[in-house]
Amino acid sequence: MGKIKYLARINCLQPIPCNPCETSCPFGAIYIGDDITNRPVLKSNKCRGCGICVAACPGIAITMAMITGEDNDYVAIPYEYYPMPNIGDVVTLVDSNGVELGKGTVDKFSKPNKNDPTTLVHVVVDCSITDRAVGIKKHVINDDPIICRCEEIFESEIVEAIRKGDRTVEAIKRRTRSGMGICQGKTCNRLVANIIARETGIGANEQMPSSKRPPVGVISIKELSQE
Amino acid sequence: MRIIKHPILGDVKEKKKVNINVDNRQVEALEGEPIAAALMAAGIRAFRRTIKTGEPRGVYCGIGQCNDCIMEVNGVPNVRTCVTLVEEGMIIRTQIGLGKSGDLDD
Repeated sequence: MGKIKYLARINCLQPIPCNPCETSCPFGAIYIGDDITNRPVLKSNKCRGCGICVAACPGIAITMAMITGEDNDYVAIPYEYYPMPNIGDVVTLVDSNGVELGKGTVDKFSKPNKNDPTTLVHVVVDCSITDRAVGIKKHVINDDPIICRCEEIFESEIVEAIRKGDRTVEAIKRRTRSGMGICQGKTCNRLVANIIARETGIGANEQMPSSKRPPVGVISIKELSQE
Repeated sequence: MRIIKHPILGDVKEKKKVNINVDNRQVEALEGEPIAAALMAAGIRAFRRTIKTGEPRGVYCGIGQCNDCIMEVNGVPNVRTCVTLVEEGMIIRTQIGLGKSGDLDD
């Protein structure tokens, strides 16, 4: 055994036609095979922990982990949001479903590929969560974000409507007015569907779709009345 | 939003300047640019105020979808400034709530 080092961890869940991880690896450590929709497999004996595949993955589905054998391990997670955390900050780690696992401390940053802006955040974590920690919870600036911008409906109002029994975008629209504004729900419908999915477990694709009625854009009554 | 230099589109050629009136203030715009671009270039970021909380709103999506950048243009409320091009002498007003139409002189 050599010295303790980082190894890539592939958290790729979807069989989609995508292979930058395989082609970017300078050591041939990632294998996809003839069918490009195969999920990548790591040959850990070839991986040197350089992190190039982490930056190359368009789905930020690769992280790195360094198992120390002691109480604390290291994970390196691609982070593509502002504001970036600072070294020494305590951040919340999440699993691939976004479920909070625990806290970690930011140790350093790295950019594996100078031509790729993706930054890896290296975090010291408790060894009990190393296997599952694949993301850093984004710093939330507003804890009650606006959902329907036209009618000024906040997330808490949507959640309240779901608590009262609403299960469709249409029902929430009738109760809260979310989606009844000037943009005709173009911005908020999808957000509302995702909140329903999060709160009830009914997937956004399984919900009854909201009704779509013309006009799809803003027009004046004058335009309608002209022959 | 006013793009002068772009890696794909190239540099903007000399453009004719037009004057617009924004809340009784003269603002210089480039012919053919969206109203929102002219306002942003002039340092104006609050285009309207919402009806419930009175919060300022401005450019959000920038492609005509979200209707967050609506203003009163030549007496017509709810005009999406990100997809409406400037014209010489346009009279533009900050919109409160759903806005008012018609009389520009009140």
